[in-house]
Amino acid sequence: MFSRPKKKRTEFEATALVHLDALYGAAHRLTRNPRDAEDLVQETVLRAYRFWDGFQKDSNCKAWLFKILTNTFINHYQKQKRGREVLGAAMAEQEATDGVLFHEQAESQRDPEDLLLNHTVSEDVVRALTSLSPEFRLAVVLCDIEGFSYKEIAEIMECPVGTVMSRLYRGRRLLKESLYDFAVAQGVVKRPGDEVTHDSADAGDTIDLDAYRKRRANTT
Amino acid sequence: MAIHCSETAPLVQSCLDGELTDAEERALCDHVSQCGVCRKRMSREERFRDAIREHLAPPSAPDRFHEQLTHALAEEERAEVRARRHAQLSWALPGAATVAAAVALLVFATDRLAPANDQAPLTHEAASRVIGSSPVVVQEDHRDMSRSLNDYLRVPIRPPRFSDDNVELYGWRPSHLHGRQAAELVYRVFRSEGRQYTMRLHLLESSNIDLRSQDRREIGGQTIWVDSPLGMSSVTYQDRQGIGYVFISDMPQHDLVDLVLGSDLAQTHDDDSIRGRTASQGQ
Repeated sequence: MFSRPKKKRTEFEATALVHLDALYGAAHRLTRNPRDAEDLVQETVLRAYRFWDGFQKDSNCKAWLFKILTNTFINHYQKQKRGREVLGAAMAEQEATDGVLFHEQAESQRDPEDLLLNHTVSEDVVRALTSLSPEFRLAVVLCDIEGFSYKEIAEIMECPVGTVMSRLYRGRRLLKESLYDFAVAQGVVKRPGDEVTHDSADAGDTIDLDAYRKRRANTT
Repeated sequence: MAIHCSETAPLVQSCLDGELTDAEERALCDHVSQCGVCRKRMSREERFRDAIREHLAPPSAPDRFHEQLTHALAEEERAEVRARRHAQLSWALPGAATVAAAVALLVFATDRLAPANDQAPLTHEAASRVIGSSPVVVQEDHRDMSRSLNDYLRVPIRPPRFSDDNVELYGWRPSHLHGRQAAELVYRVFRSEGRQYTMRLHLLESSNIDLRSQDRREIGGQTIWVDSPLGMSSVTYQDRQGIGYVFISDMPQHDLVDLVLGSDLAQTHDDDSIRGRTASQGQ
């Protein structure tokens, strides 16, 4: 049976609201402004409260809340960018994560060096993060800000662990790209030239850990 | 377990994210200690990761927001209490309409069944069907929509209508559930104080598909399943022609159940009346 409202609220506040700062922090990074972050968190919390009776109390409450936050964020994104734009983004994301091989020789030539990192300011990083598509942004926020494991992110984002790794890899790459572009625009670094270090190993890298482990298992 | 440079990319990312086993981490360290290129790459990745994490460290929620949320939760609790009182009053009132409401209350009173497992595959799949969907086809004329749906699904079907005037059919789009062709109808539901919800109804030929989810509720010999996948509300129902109805919404669960019970699914398939059978049995 459903729990009584008073008991439910007390239990909810004690168990779920301890994650409020984490939710707010992630929402702030996803939406980029405090007002939207508050709206997103409030909707997440109220939705979680309404469905508190359905939450398995022995499971991971923080991951459950982030799943709702993620779902709410993507739903809002879809409402705002209805139709073809969403389809376009989804297809772009699909293309980016379908395979495990990325041919990014050109991108790898733009690796930011010390100069870039030394001159990067938080505002640029936030701007670069916001320029990522929602799926890449979520993966980076959940891993680099919230410290969720790949498995937890996979559960939150409803996708395989391999896709999480691809989104992280690709998201971080795009983040670097954007930062590099900002730095070039500000005259901090030059356009890629001969002096830029280049890892030939970066080109065509596989980022599928499972594939690596399977290969290893077969060779031992 | 020696590794090659071409294998280090997944290991470097996973190592910095703390996802490697001890053996894998040792193998990577051995390689990196002997390979200048990979050492440089790992160092660069680590510096970039550290810089990003430092720059992206998010602010805490302001105290004012804590208070705002506490008030919002208190309001939500009051609304829940009011809804319960309203339901209890309706139970006591006479009249045919109340009989139906009373039966709905009985439905709510049905004991929550222990879920057979943690997964509710179909509703879960429907609730997560957010990204990658094709654009919604908006059709003003509902007859045109019925024709389009029939042509698309190749089964005679008509979108249900709702007694609640605040439900507006926005459009539909092709969809797939359990690998089967489905149609996803998108409704807007307007509530007081400017609240607006979205309700999605997946229609599909569902013979041989397990539509069960968390809570089973028996209504007039018919079964509906109620669940809350991914923080959404869901109701599933299968008529005797094998058409599956999977309702997903961000509105409160009891509101969604009421909406479904107030639909004309009964008139669509006389033998499968949800509300119709319930009401006639109650009278």
